[in-house]
Amino acid sequence: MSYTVYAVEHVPAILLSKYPTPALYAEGKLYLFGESLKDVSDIEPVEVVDIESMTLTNDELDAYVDHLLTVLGPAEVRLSKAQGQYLYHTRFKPVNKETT
Amino acid sequence: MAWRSYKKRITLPPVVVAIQRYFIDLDPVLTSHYLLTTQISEAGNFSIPFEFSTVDGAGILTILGQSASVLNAVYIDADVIKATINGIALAFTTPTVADGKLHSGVISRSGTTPTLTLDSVVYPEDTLTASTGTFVIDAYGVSNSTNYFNGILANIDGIALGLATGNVEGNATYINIPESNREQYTLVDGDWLGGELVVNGDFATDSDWDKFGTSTISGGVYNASGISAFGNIVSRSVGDTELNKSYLFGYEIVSNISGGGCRPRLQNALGTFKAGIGVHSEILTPTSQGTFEGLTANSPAFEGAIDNISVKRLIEVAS
Repeated sequence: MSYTVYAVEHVPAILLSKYPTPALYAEGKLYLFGESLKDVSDIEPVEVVDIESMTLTNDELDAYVDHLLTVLGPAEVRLSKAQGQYLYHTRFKPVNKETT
Repeated sequence: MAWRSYKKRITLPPVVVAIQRYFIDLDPVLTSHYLLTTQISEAGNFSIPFEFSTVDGAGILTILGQSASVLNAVYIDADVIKATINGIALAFTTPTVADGKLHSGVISRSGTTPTLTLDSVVYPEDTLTASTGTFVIDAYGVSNSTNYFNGILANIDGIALGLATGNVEGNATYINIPESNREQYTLVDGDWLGGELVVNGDFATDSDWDKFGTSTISGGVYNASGISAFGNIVSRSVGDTELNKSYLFGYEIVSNISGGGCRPRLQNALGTFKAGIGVHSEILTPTSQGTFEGLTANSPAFEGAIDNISVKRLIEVAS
Protein backbone atom coordinates (compact mmCIF):
# COMPACT_ATOMS: atom_id res chain seq x y z
CA MET A 1 0.00 0.00 0.00
CA SER A 2 1.14 3.50 -0.69
CA TYR A 3 -0.14 6.99 -0.02
CA THR A 4 -1.73 9.29 -2.55
CA VAL A 5 -1.46 13.07 -2.27
CA TYR A 6 -3.52 15.70 -4.09
CA ALA A 7 -3.56 19.47 -3.90
CA VAL A 8 -6.87 20.42 -2.30
CA GLU A 9 -8.05 22.42 -5.32
CA HIS A 10 -7.28 19.58 -7.72
CA VAL A 11 -8.57 16.56 -5.81
CA PRO A 12 -10.79 14.29 -7.95
CA ALA A 13 -14.39 14.31 -6.79
CA ILE A 14 -14.60 10.53 -6.87
CA LEU A 15 -11.83 10.21 -4.28
CA LEU A 16 -13.58 12.74 -2.07
CA SER A 17 -16.87 10.92 -2.44
CA LYS A 18 -15.31 7.75 -1.02
CA TYR A 19 -13.27 9.57 1.62
CA PRO A 20 -15.20 12.77 2.38
CA THR A 21 -12.90 13.84 5.22
CA PRO A 22 -9.38 12.86 4.14
CA ALA A 23 -6.30 13.71 6.15
CA LEU A 24 -5.38 17.35 5.55
CA TYR A 25 -1.73 18.41 5.54
CA ALA A 26 0.61 21.31 4.77
CA GLU A 27 -1.52 24.08 6.29
CA GLY A 28 -4.58 22.77 4.51
CA LYS A 29 -3.03 22.64 1.05
CA LEU A 30 -2.84 18.85 0.60
CA TYR A 31 -5.12 15.86 1.01
CA LEU A 32 -3.68 12.44 1.80
CA PHE A 33 -5.46 9.22 0.85
CA GLY A 34 -4.77 5.53 1.34
CA GLU A 35 -6.01 4.74 -2.18
CA SER A 36 -5.22 6.18 -5.58
CA LEU A 37 -7.67 7.48 -8.16
CA LYS A 38 -7.19 4.26 -10.11
CA ASP A 39 -7.98 2.22 -6.99
CA VAL A 40 -11.44 3.77 -6.68
CA SER A 41 -12.31 4.27 -10.37
CA ASP A 42 -11.29 3.47 -13.92
CA ILE A 43 -10.01 6.98 -14.36
CA GLU A 44 -6.34 7.63 -14.97
CA PRO A 45 -4.89 10.67 -13.21
CA VAL A 46 -3.98 13.56 -15.49
CA GLU A 47 -0.41 13.38 -14.22
CA VAL A 48 1.49 11.20 -11.77
CA VAL A 49 4.51 12.11 -9.68
CA ASP A 50 5.72 8.73 -8.49
CA ILE A 51 8.04 9.43 -5.58
CA GLU A 52 7.44 5.88 -4.36
CA SER A 53 9.48 4.41 -7.18
CA MET A 54 12.36 6.85 -6.71
CA THR A 55 15.28 5.83 -4.55
CA LEU A 56 15.69 8.91 -2.40
CA THR A 57 17.58 9.58 0.77
CA ASN A 58 15.63 11.36 3.49
CA ASP A 59 17.35 14.65 2.60
CA GLU A 60 16.50 14.18 -1.07
CA LEU A 61 12.90 13.37 -0.15
CA ASP A 62 12.65 16.51 1.95
CA ALA A 63 14.07 18.61 -0.87
CA TYR A 64 11.72 17.04 -3.40
CA VAL A 65 8.71 17.66 -1.20
CA ASP A 66 9.81 21.28 -0.67
CA HIS A 67 9.96 21.68 -4.43
CA LEU A 68 6.53 20.10 -4.96
CA LEU A 69 4.96 22.41 -2.41
CA THR A 70 6.02 25.40 -4.51
CA VAL A 71 4.50 24.02 -7.71
CA LEU A 72 1.23 22.45 -6.60
CA GLY A 73 -0.67 21.21 -9.61
CA PRO A 74 -3.22 18.57 -10.57
CA ALA A 75 -0.74 15.68 -10.38
CA GLU A 76 -1.38 12.64 -8.24
CA VAL A 77 1.66 12.27 -5.99
CA ARG A 78 2.45 8.77 -4.81
CA LEU A 79 4.49 8.10 -1.69
CA SER A 80 5.55 4.80 -0.23
CA LYS A 81 4.36 4.02 3.26
CA ALA A 82 7.89 4.44 4.57
CA GLN A 83 8.26 7.84 2.86
CA GLY A 84 4.89 9.00 4.19
CA GLN A 85 5.67 7.86 7.70
CA TYR A 86 9.06 9.57 7.60
CA LEU A 87 7.45 12.86 6.60
CA TYR A 88 4.73 12.39 9.24
CA HIS A 89 7.23 11.80 12.01
CA THR A 90 9.67 14.54 11.03
CA ARG A 91 7.74 17.52 9.62
CA PHE A 92 4.07 17.08 8.75
CA LYS A 93 1.11 16.56 11.05
CA PRO A 94 -2.52 16.48 9.94
CA VAL A 95 -4.37 19.72 10.49
CA ASN A 96 -7.79 18.03 10.86
CA LYS A 97 -7.01 17.65 14.54
CA GLU A 98 -4.50 19.13 16.87
CA THR A 99 -2.04 16.40 17.73
CA THR A 100 0.48 16.00 20.48
CA MET B 1 -33.39 -66.73 4.43
CA ALA B 2 -34.67 -64.36 7.08
CA TRP B 3 -34.43 -60.64 6.58
CA ARG B 4 -32.15 -59.03 8.99
CA SER B 5 -31.85 -55.37 9.76
CA TYR B 6 -28.53 -54.09 8.60
CA LYS B 7 -27.17 -50.63 9.09
CA LYS B 8 -23.79 -49.81 7.81
CA ARG B 9 -21.95 -47.53 10.18
CA ILE B 10 -20.11 -44.76 8.43
CA THR B 11 -17.62 -42.75 10.40
CA LEU B 12 -17.30 -39.27 9.00
CA PRO B 13 -14.10 -37.32 9.48
CA PRO B 14 -14.46 -34.41 11.91
CA VAL B 15 -15.41 -31.18 10.22
CA VAL B 16 -12.75 -28.57 10.83
CA VAL B 17 -14.06 -25.06 10.41
CA ALA B 18 -11.43 -22.36 10.30
CA ILE B 19 -12.27 -19.39 12.48
CA GLN B 20 -11.61 -16.23 10.53
CA ARG B 21 -12.11 -12.52 11.05
CA TYR B 22 -10.91 -9.24 9.64
CA PHE B 23 -8.60 -6.94 11.54
CA ILE B 24 -8.07 -3.37 10.44
CA ASP B 25 -4.89 -1.37 10.84
CA LEU B 26 -5.62 2.20 11.82
CA ASP B 27 -3.02 4.50 10.27
CA PRO B 28 -2.43 7.80 12.08
CA VAL B 29 -0.84 9.24 8.90
CA LEU B 30 -4.26 8.83 7.25
CA THR B 31 -6.08 9.96 10.43
CA SER B 32 -7.96 6.64 10.38
CA HIS B 33 -10.63 6.29 13.08
CA TYR B 34 -14.26 5.38 13.75
CA LEU B 35 -17.09 7.80 14.47
CA LEU B 36 -20.26 6.70 16.22
CA THR B 37 -23.60 7.68 14.75
CA THR B 38 -25.20 7.60 18.18
CA GLN B 39 -22.95 8.39 21.08
CA ILE B 40 -22.65 6.08 24.05
CA SER B 41 -23.89 7.80 27.20
CA GLU B 42 -23.64 5.95 30.49
CA ALA B 43 -24.99 7.73 33.58
CA GLY B 44 -24.95 4.74 35.93
CA ASN B 45 -23.28 1.39 35.99
CA PHE B 46 -21.68 0.33 32.73
CA SER B 47 -19.33 -2.19 31.22
CA ILE B 48 -17.71 -1.53 27.82
CA PRO B 49 -15.45 -4.18 26.27
CA PHE B 50 -12.71 -3.42 23.76
CA GLU B 51 -9.79 -5.09 21.96
CA PHE B 52 -6.62 -3.38 20.81
CA SER B 53 -3.12 -4.00 19.49
CA THR B 54 -0.33 -1.45 19.14
CA VAL B 55 3.41 -1.09 19.41
CA ASP B 56 3.15 2.66 19.91
CA GLY B 57 3.53 3.29 23.62
CA ALA B 58 5.34 6.60 23.48
CA GLY B 59 2.47 9.01 23.08
CA ILE B 60 -1.18 9.15 24.01
CA LEU B 61 -3.42 6.86 21.99
CA THR B 62 -7.14 7.04 22.57
CA ILE B 63 -8.99 3.75 22.29
CA LEU B 64 -12.45 5.18 22.86
CA GLY B 65 -13.36 8.74 23.65
CA GLN B 66 -14.91 11.98 22.46
CA SER B 67 -13.91 13.58 19.18
CA ALA B 68 -14.30 17.12 20.52
CA SER B 69 -13.61 16.79 24.21
CA VAL B 70 -11.09 15.28 26.60
CA LEU B 71 -13.62 14.74 29.37
CA ASN B 72 -14.18 11.07 28.58
CA ALA B 73 -11.70 8.54 27.22
CA VAL B 74 -9.97 5.23 27.67
CA TYR B 75 -6.44 5.59 26.36
CA ILE B 76 -2.86 4.36 26.35
CA ASP B 77 -0.43 6.75 27.99
CA ALA B 78 3.22 5.86 28.61
CA ASP B 79 2.45 2.28 27.66
CA VAL B 80 -0.30 1.64 30.24
CA ILE B 81 -4.08 2.01 30.15
CA LYS B 82 -5.67 5.08 31.71
CA ALA B 83 -9.15 6.54 31.65
CA THR B 84 -11.00 9.79 32.18
CA ILE B 85 -14.65 9.63 33.06
CA ASN B 86 -16.58 12.88 33.19
CA GLY B 87 -13.29 14.76 33.60
CA ILE B 88 -12.09 12.60 36.50
CA ALA B 89 -8.69 11.06 35.73
CA LEU B 90 -8.36 7.39 36.61
CA ALA B 91 -5.14 5.36 36.67
CA PHE B 92 -4.67 1.62 36.66
CA THR B 93 -1.38 -0.16 37.28
CA THR B 94 -1.50 -2.47 34.29
CA PRO B 95 1.40 -4.21 32.63
CA THR B 96 2.77 -2.44 29.57
CA VAL B 97 0.47 -2.97 26.62
CA ALA B 98 2.26 -1.61 23.54
CA ASP B 99 3.72 -4.99 22.69
CA GLY B 100 1.86 -5.69 19.45
CA LYS B 101 -0.28 -8.37 21.05
CA LEU B 102 -4.06 -8.36 20.87
CA HIS B 103 -5.31 -7.32 24.30
CA SER B 104 -8.85 -7.57 25.61
CA GLY B 105 -10.09 -4.94 28.02
CA VAL B 106 -13.28 -3.92 29.79
CA ILE B 107 -13.82 -0.52 31.37
CA SER B 108 -16.63 -0.70 33.89
CA ARG B 109 -18.26 1.13 36.76
CA SER B 110 -20.35 -0.21 39.61
CA GLY B 111 -21.79 2.49 41.81
CA THR B 112 -18.90 4.95 41.98
CA THR B 113 -16.20 2.29 41.67
CA PRO B 114 -14.38 2.19 38.31
CA THR B 115 -12.57 -0.98 37.28
CA LEU B 116 -10.41 -1.99 34.36
CA THR B 117 -10.18 -5.61 33.32
CA LEU B 118 -7.23 -6.34 31.04
CA ASP B 119 -6.67 -9.80 29.59
CA SER B 120 -8.97 -11.28 32.26
CA VAL B 121 -7.11 -9.62 35.17
CA VAL B 122 -9.06 -7.05 37.21
CA TYR B 123 -7.27 -3.80 38.05
CA PRO B 124 -8.92 -1.51 40.60
CA GLU B 125 -8.31 2.21 40.24
CA ASP B 126 -4.93 3.05 41.81
CA THR B 127 -6.09 5.52 44.48
CA LEU B 128 -9.70 4.33 44.71
CA THR B 129 -10.89 7.53 43.07
CA ALA B 130 -14.67 7.67 42.93
CA SER B 131 -16.21 7.86 39.48
CA THR B 132 -19.29 10.03 39.11
CA GLY B 133 -21.09 11.67 36.22
CA THR B 134 -21.90 10.50 32.72
CA PHE B 135 -19.41 8.62 30.56
CA VAL B 136 -19.85 9.81 26.97
CA ILE B 137 -18.21 8.24 23.91
CA ASP B 138 -18.62 9.23 20.25
CA ALA B 139 -15.45 7.92 18.58
CA TYR B 140 -12.94 5.10 18.57
CA GLY B 141 -9.31 5.82 17.80
CA VAL B 142 -9.43 9.59 18.11
CA SER B 143 -10.05 12.19 20.75
CA ASN B 144 -9.57 15.89 20.86
CA SER B 145 -5.94 16.99 21.32
CA THR B 146 -4.55 13.48 21.15
CA ASN B 147 -2.98 11.37 18.49
CA TYR B 148 -4.90 9.07 16.23
CA PHE B 149 -4.65 5.43 17.21
CA ASN B 150 -1.77 3.53 15.67
CA GLY B 151 -2.69 -0.14 15.41
CA ILE B 152 -5.79 -2.29 15.65
CA LEU B 153 -9.04 -1.61 17.46
CA ALA B 154 -11.68 -4.35 17.42
CA ASN B 155 -14.81 -5.57 19.14
CA ILE B 156 -15.61 -2.37 20.97
CA ASP B 157 -18.92 -2.42 22.82
CA GLY B 158 -20.27 -5.19 20.62
CA ILE B 159 -19.14 -3.78 17.25
CA ALA B 160 -16.64 -6.08 15.52
CA LEU B 161 -14.89 -3.26 13.59
CA GLY B 162 -13.97 -5.82 10.98
CA LEU B 163 -15.56 -4.90 7.66
CA ALA B 164 -13.74 -6.16 4.56
CA THR B 165 -15.46 -3.52 2.46
CA GLY B 166 -17.82 -0.67 3.17
CA ASN B 167 -17.65 1.99 5.83
CA VAL B 168 -20.64 1.58 8.14
CA GLU B 169 -20.74 -1.20 10.70
CA GLY B 170 -23.46 -1.01 13.31
CA ASN B 171 -23.14 2.31 15.07
CA ALA B 172 -19.63 2.99 13.74
CA THR B 173 -18.62 4.81 10.55
CA TYR B 174 -15.16 4.10 9.18
CA ILE B 175 -13.18 7.29 8.53
CA ASN B 176 -10.18 7.24 6.16
CA ILE B 177 -9.65 3.50 6.39
CA PRO B 178 -8.62 2.11 2.99
CA GLU B 179 -9.56 -1.46 2.15
CA SER B 180 -5.88 -2.29 1.78
CA ASN B 181 -5.60 -1.88 5.55
CA ARG B 182 -8.16 -4.63 6.17
CA GLU B 183 -6.93 -8.18 6.21
CA GLN B 184 -8.55 -11.51 6.95
CA TYR B 185 -6.87 -13.58 9.66
CA THR B 186 -7.27 -17.19 10.68
CA LEU B 187 -7.11 -18.43 14.26
CA VAL B 188 -4.16 -20.82 14.53
CA ASP B 189 -3.02 -22.17 17.90
CA GLY B 190 -4.68 -19.29 19.71
CA ASP B 191 -3.13 -16.52 17.61
CA TRP B 192 -4.29 -14.76 14.43
CA LEU B 193 -2.42 -15.47 11.21
CA GLY B 194 -2.81 -13.31 8.09
CA GLY B 195 -2.68 -14.30 4.45
CA GLU B 196 0.38 -15.57 2.58
CA LEU B 197 2.66 -12.75 1.48
CA VAL B 198 5.23 -14.81 -0.40
CA VAL B 199 4.73 -15.46 -4.09
CA ASN B 200 6.10 -18.76 -5.40
CA GLY B 201 7.24 -19.86 -1.95
CA ASP B 202 6.98 -23.47 -3.12
CA PHE B 203 9.43 -22.79 -5.96
CA ALA B 204 6.99 -24.18 -8.50
CA THR B 205 8.60 -21.95 -11.13
CA ASP B 206 12.02 -20.43 -11.61
CA SER B 207 10.88 -16.90 -10.90
CA ASP B 208 10.32 -14.27 -8.20
CA TRP B 209 13.49 -15.10 -6.23
CA ASP B 210 17.00 -13.71 -6.21
CA LYS B 211 19.41 -16.64 -6.40
CA PHE B 212 22.93 -16.60 -5.03
CA GLY B 213 26.14 -18.48 -5.85
CA THR B 214 25.42 -21.26 -8.32
CA SER B 215 21.98 -22.01 -6.87
CA THR B 216 19.10 -23.13 -9.05
CA ILE B 217 15.36 -23.53 -8.80
CA SER B 218 14.28 -26.90 -10.13
CA GLY B 219 12.21 -29.86 -9.12
CA GLY B 220 10.02 -27.66 -6.94
CA VAL B 221 12.82 -26.68 -4.56
CA TYR B 222 15.61 -24.12 -4.26
CA ASN B 223 18.92 -25.94 -4.65
CA ALA B 224 21.46 -23.84 -2.77
CA SER B 225 25.07 -24.20 -3.85
CA GLY B 226 28.10 -21.97 -4.14
CA ILE B 227 26.80 -19.80 -1.30
CA SER B 228 29.35 -17.62 0.49
CA ALA B 229 29.87 -18.15 4.20
CA PHE B 230 27.63 -15.66 6.03
CA GLY B 231 26.17 -14.65 2.66
CA ASN B 232 22.66 -14.69 1.29
CA ILE B 233 21.05 -18.00 0.34
CA VAL B 234 17.82 -16.86 -1.32
CA SER B 235 15.78 -13.68 -1.13
CA ARG B 236 13.14 -11.40 -2.56
CA SER B 237 13.49 -7.65 -2.62
CA VAL B 238 9.97 -6.63 -1.78
CA GLY B 239 8.28 -4.20 0.56
CA ASP B 240 5.36 -6.29 1.71
CA THR B 241 6.23 -6.37 5.40
CA GLU B 242 5.84 -3.35 7.63
CA LEU B 243 7.92 -2.04 10.47
CA ASN B 244 7.04 -2.93 14.04
CA LYS B 245 4.63 -5.64 12.99
CA SER B 246 5.22 -9.32 13.63
CA TYR B 247 5.40 -11.99 10.96
CA LEU B 248 5.62 -15.75 11.10
CA PHE B 249 8.45 -16.78 8.78
CA GLY B 250 8.30 -20.45 7.79
CA TYR B 251 10.59 -22.54 5.59
CA GLU B 252 11.57 -26.14 5.07
CA ILE B 253 15.06 -27.57 4.85
CA VAL B 254 14.59 -30.55 2.53
CA SER B 255 18.24 -31.59 2.49
CA ASN B 256 21.46 -30.29 3.99
CA ILE B 257 24.69 -31.43 2.36
CA SER B 258 27.13 -29.05 4.03
CA GLY B 259 25.67 -29.02 7.53
CA GLY B 260 25.52 -25.22 7.44
CA GLY B 261 22.63 -23.27 8.85
CA CYS B 262 19.84 -21.10 7.43
CA ARG B 263 18.66 -17.95 9.12
CA PRO B 264 15.43 -16.17 8.15
CA ARG B 265 15.56 -12.40 7.72
CA LEU B 266 12.88 -9.77 7.18
CA GLN B 267 14.26 -6.28 6.59
CA ASN B 268 16.52 -5.85 9.66
CA ALA B 269 14.92 -8.62 11.72
CA LEU B 270 17.10 -11.70 12.01
CA GLY B 271 16.09 -15.15 13.17
CA THR B 272 18.25 -17.98 14.44
CA PHE B 273 20.29 -20.44 12.42
CA LYS B 274 18.69 -23.83 11.83
CA ALA B 275 20.37 -26.74 10.06
CA GLY B 276 18.05 -29.64 10.76
CA ILE B 277 15.95 -31.28 8.08
CA GLY B 278 12.31 -30.30 8.42
CA VAL B 279 9.96 -27.36 8.73
CA HIS B 280 11.10 -24.36 10.77
CA SER B 281 9.25 -21.23 11.72
CA GLU B 282 10.09 -18.11 13.65
CA ILE B 283 8.45 -14.83 14.60
CA LEU B 284 10.24 -11.79 13.19
CA THR B 285 9.47 -8.13 13.82
CA PRO B 286 11.37 -5.71 11.57
CA THR B 287 12.10 -2.32 13.09
CA SER B 288 14.20 -0.67 10.40
CA GLN B 289 13.31 -0.16 6.79
CA GLY B 290 14.57 -2.54 4.14
CA THR B 291 13.31 -4.88 1.47
CA PHE B 292 15.18 -8.11 2.15
CA GLU B 293 12.98 -11.15 2.64
CA GLY B 294 14.75 -14.51 2.64
CA LEU B 295 17.40 -16.74 4.16
CA THR B 296 21.04 -16.08 4.99
CA ALA B 297 23.90 -18.49 5.74
CA ASN B 298 26.47 -18.97 8.46
CA SER B 299 29.65 -21.02 8.17
CA PRO B 300 30.05 -23.52 6.67
CA ALA B 301 27.76 -22.06 4.04
CA PHE B 302 24.49 -23.87 3.57
CA GLU B 303 24.32 -26.27 0.65
CA GLY B 304 21.14 -28.19 0.16
CA ALA B 305 17.48 -27.84 -0.80
CA ILE B 306 14.97 -25.32 0.54
CA ASP B 307 11.21 -25.37 0.04
CA ASN B 308 7.97 -23.77 1.22
CA ILE B 309 9.09 -20.31 2.27
CA SER B 310 6.15 -18.53 3.87
CA VAL B 311 5.63 -15.14 5.48
CA LYS B 312 2.36 -14.27 7.20
CA ARG B 313 1.42 -11.41 9.47
CA LEU B 314 0.98 -12.64 13.03
CA ILE B 315 -1.15 -11.08 15.74
CA GLU B 316 -0.41 -12.81 19.00
CA VAL B 317 -3.23 -12.87 21.53
CA ALA B 318 -2.20 -11.65 24.98
CA SER B 319 -2.81 -14.10 27.79
